Amino acid sequence: MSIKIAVKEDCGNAPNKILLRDFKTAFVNKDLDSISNYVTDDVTWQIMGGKQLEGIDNFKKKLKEMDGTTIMELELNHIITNGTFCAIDGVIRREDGTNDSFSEVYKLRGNKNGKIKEMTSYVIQEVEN
Amino acid sequence: MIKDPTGLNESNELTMTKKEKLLQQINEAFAKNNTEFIIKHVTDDISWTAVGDFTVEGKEALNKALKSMQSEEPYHLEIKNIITHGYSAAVDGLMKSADGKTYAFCDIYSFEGFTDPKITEMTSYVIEIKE
Repeated sequence: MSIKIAVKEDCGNAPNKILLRDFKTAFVNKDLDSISNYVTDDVTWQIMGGKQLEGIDNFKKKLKEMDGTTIMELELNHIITNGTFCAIDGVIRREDGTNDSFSEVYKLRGNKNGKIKEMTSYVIQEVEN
Repeated sequence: MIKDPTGLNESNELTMTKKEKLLQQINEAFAKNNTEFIIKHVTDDISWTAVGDFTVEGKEALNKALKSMQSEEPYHLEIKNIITHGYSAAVDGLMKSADGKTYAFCDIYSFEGFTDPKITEMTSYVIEIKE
């Protein structure tokens, strides 16, 4: 079964909004093969409260390890882009009733057809009653 | 080491847009318990959610919530990024309390109005950083 993706933001023709939407979709699907379409080889990923990861291999490894429970839905509330600086927020809902509410701040390399070179995640886990 | 990619240091302050400046001031007001300043820049039907914690609706409720959260000593504020586009914005950074607690935050804002923009919605993602 595929994960439901709900995007409240109108991405229009904004390439960076589309990039972030597609990246996050690949992220929840753990689509490791396509991740390199969205992030640079020297990407850094800071999950707030944890240590910073460096490089695409570590990025993929972390993504592969995380989230054993089936993800049902990704909801994106905002996608905010201004040049190479971007932020999103939303929620990931899992089969077992746990939710990850998150916001993320990104820096892209390259304004056109850019890729994510820095990602900072603020994640708060909630349990649905 | 906190980088300053948005150029929020004094020499670059002139390059900030009006909305970026307002967001900086709002965050400073929060750090310094200046509830009045925040209340002046929100709509009557403001909604503020601290994710995983609470939601307050309306100016009065926000006023009460902010007053109840006031700390004796101001927080030390480090803004990392202010990202604005259209009627949306995001601000992230660190708040350090006088008693040594560090909170990483990322706030997402929705605005209304162009010449005198007011905040209609704030969503705060706050994570305590334990060294």
